[in-house]
Amino acid sequence: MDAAADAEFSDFMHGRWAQLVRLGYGLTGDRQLAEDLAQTAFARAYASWGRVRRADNPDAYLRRIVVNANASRFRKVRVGEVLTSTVPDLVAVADGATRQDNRDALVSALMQLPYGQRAAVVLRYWLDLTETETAAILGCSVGNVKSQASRALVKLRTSAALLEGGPA
Amino acid sequence: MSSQDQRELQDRLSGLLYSIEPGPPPVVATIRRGRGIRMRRWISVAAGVAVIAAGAVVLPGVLRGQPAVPMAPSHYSVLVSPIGAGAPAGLIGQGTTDGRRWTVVMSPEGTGVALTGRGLSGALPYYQYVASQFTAKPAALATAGSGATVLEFGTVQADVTHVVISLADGEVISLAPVSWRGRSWVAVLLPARVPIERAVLSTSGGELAYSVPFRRTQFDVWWQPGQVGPARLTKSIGSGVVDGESWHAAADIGPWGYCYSVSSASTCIDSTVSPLLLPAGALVSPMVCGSLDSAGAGAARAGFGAAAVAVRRVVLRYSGGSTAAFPTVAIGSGRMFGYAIPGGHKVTGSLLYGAAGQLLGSTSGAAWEC
Repeated sequence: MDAAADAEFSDFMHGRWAQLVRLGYGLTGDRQLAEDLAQTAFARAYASWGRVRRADNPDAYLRRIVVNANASRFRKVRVGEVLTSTVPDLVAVADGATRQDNRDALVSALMQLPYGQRAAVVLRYWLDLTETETAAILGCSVGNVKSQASRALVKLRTSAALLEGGPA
Repeated sequence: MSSQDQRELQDRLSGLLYSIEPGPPPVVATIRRGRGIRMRRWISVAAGVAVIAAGAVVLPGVLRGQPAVPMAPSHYSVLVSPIGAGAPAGLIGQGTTDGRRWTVVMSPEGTGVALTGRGLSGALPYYQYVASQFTAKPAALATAGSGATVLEFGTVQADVTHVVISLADGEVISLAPVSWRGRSWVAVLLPARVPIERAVLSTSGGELAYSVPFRRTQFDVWWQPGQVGPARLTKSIGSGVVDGESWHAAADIGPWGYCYSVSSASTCIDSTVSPLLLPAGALVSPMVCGSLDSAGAGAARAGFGAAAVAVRRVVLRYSGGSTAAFPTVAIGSGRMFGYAIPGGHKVTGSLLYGAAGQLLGSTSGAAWEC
């Protein structure tokens, strides 16, 4: 790509970076992973920039990459992976920021949802996408989005972690 | 959940996610990654064209004298550093990947493995693992992580002196096991974009075993030197929709062994399907079953099982009184099938039918506990 196209891509990335990282955070509960997922999405967008910039909805393209890239991360993980709130003693804590209790509670409740339900909740209730838009990103039917989101809401409502966290 | 509840959830999600303040976008690094992706695509196309050209025997002289098609350039480097006697307890791996230093340490409690390092892309913050997953012989290796790099780690039996990992582009990485808490561990951070081709275990007496990973990540089956896995075959053994959740069971056979999967779960075995999986005299044997919803007791479940050659259809009867039929599929010298159980139901029994529709036998529900 020439310099003008790179500049155009740079503007595109600046305008969407924060939202895509937040989407990744909602899916993973981990900021570093979220930034990596977002960067992966933008790198792929750059590799197909000619097609992406002409797309009707490049945002949907980016979100789909983030959702799918994170899903494939789950497929790769073969051990019983659990992101813990307690860091093993030998590890230096990379991010020293202390999270608020209610934020922890919501993250914890989200992370306890199966991935499809979590993605449905974040896309539907945070990004406020329609069921059709959510289905297109998740690659499933509208009915599946409805059932995933509905189950997720029931679980979140009854989540002990969420109840203990109290209102934000 | 009421619309007020939904609104409250939306507010809390917004509060959570907007509290995340990302740093500036890494535009330059992203463009570099994007260019790498484009380059690899171009190389793949070029390699495909080269293969076609090489096979074009009608033009025998065209390629003569031309230089060999260059290998895909290595856009990465992996260096593994030896761990000396004075190393900190729990350190099981260290090195440099793409110029970034990493270490892999076990937690003192033995309940976690941590990957640390500066600027690691997609590094794992920390893991808990189930210790029982790392007792298989001759080795139990796991792949974990995301992004540009993945962590390969696990245990090998005590007499293994080296684990040699071959990547798809020809790169070879040798790991020396490190003893920790009575077990021998290996760990290395690898570039995610170059899949693992095989792993070889060696002892002081020579090669002990090798494994070709299923789906490039699962080292489930270890072959002795000279042993060759079965020919490649991928076949669906069942699929459907239960409680609105789709499920799919498949057989993936190849140098990684006989691997069966249902939804996201899979298992591989190193022998032919029958009769090993089928107890003597049995017509059917359910093997693996799990929830389609990882959070839920009472959720729909799916599984797969082995059947005798004569069994062509398995009919399950559920506690609600309904039934469902699942055809069996020929795999190797036996037959396999996938099946599903609706949420909140149990299997109360099964009926097994032959090719002509004749009833061959039945089982109780106990065999189908899931």
